[in-house]
Amino acid sequence: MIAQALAVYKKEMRDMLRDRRMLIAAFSFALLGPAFMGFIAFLTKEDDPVEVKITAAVSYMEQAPGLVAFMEREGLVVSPYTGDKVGEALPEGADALVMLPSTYAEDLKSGNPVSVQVFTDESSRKGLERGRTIMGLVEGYNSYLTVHRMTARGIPTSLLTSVVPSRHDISEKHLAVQLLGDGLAMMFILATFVGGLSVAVDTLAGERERHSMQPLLAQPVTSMAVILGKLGMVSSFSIIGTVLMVTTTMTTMSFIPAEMLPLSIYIDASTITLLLMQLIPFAIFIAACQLFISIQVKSFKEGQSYISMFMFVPMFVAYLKIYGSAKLPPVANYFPVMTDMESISSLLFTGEFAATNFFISVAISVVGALVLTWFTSRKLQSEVLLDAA
Amino acid sequence: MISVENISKSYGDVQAVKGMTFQAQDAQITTLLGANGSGKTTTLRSISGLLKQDGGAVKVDGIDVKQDTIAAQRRLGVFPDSFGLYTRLTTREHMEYFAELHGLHGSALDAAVSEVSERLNLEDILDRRTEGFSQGQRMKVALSRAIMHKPQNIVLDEPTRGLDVMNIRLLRHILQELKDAGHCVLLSSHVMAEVEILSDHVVMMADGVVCAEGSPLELISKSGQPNLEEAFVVLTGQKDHQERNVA
Repeated sequence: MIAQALAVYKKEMRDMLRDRRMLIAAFSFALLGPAFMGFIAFLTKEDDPVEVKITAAVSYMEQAPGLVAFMEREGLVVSPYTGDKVGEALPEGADALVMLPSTYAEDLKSGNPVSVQVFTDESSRKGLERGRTIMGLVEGYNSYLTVHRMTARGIPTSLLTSVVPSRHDISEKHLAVQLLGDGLAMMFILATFVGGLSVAVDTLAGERERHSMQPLLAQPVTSMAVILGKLGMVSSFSIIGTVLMVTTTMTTMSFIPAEMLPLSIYIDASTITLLLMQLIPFAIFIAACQLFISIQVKSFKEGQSYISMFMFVPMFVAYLKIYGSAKLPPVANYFPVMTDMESISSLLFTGEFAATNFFISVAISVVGALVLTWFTSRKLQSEVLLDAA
Repeated sequence: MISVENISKSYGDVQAVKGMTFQAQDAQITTLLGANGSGKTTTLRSISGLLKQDGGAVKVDGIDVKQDTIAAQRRLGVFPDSFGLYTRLTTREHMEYFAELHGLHGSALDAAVSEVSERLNLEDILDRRTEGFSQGQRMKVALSRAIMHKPQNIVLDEPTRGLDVMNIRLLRHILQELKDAGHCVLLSSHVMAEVEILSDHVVMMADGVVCAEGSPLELISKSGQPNLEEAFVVLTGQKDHQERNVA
């Protein structure tokens, strides 16, 4: 039986690898998905360079050497503004305009409150963030002066602070880590679905439609050998797609500046090995699911419809986990797809091996693949498969 | 030798075959002759192990097909009612695939490919993908994969359908060769001229039962008609359109 299954596998791989559409359908997601993520990161990086200098234009800046020095010490570029009024737009190159009164130095010396107006352009995220930074520095300079004035008068500065609040996050994972981790795990899981999708439809529904099922079933070969050969082919596509997805994602992430990632990724030989030890059985299980669906339908088109609908299952479960996990019972973490996401996310983003999730995932995959393969091979013996739609 | 013993087969309420019995001997060409829907394909599929008949038995060289399908299929070469080729595979790859399913490997496989390609004049299309092949070329590929493992029994379901005259002559020549080599050749057809020329033994079918059997000459003689077509009409109790209209 093994020799026959290998003959079927060899023929199926040869057949599918010659179909350009199949290859595009199988691997475009794994190649283009992470590349798209990287492109977005690249655009973001261009938009917001790490070494950016925020520029503030200041009127009457010769009267405010202290404020200017404070701003420059905090990394701002300060330029003089010579106008009396604020125009319709900020001065060229400035992220905010700080308007000081002409009596700034005199008012400050006499201890009178000085009105300082900060003009910003908040029509873009960049303008909003930089304007707020400049505003924060002006407020910081105010606190700085106040502290020094009180110290000079012998008043303890601790009187300025009655309550010292500090915030501590007690959740197991930071929200950003949770979202990014689950999102990435979902991408890996989706790759197992996408890789084998088209070939699974073609190998059974397509074979039936092309009337090539009859000559095949008239050979002295068991239905289990045929299904094992076909399962091997679909699994190969699924595994290749998944490995491509993992590789391209990790490569892409290595190009994203560390300061743009809210978390660390644990990539080493043992992590990759564990990841593949989980994803490969899962890919075989998904291939078995897709073959099980494919054998129920009469034509390639019908198969595509049902298997595309099957794609919604991991997406639905993944989004449920990402956005609704707080409302789900703890046991939900051990459901198929959810347990896979939990295990992958934990492995990659905390460096911890979630043994329970890992072994449940592998067990579900192995048992599921065996059961579905048995049912599919039984179905292959059905007389209704001899004729197409 | 193929032996069909009182088989019956139903699809839901429709009984396609009702107690069919006949034998196809070695070194003979036996033809199932019947109108569309007479049960020819169902009978051939039961022999090929593709269908499980409801009652009766089919034996291939003494092996019960229902009891030991794989062993029976090893002794069969099947040419189904549709060619069912893989358009992205070459002729050689088709031959190798089906030969491997029959357990041929290495030099035995290479020798079988050479022998069959020479016999069917496949050299010019041996390494071409089957996409875009003519009907005649498709027939040759389908036939090549059926005889790659040198089966004692060859079953062909309407093999001349869609073929031009030259390809029909070629097929006829090949079937004669197989018969002369001692193989049991069983085919189905509803083309009278072809059956008359080719067959040693004809099994006439109508509504899932055997109406008459014998050599073409015996059947013509038995019916008292001038040719096999008229004999078929009489022996199967068929009425043509004109008669039906008069009735």
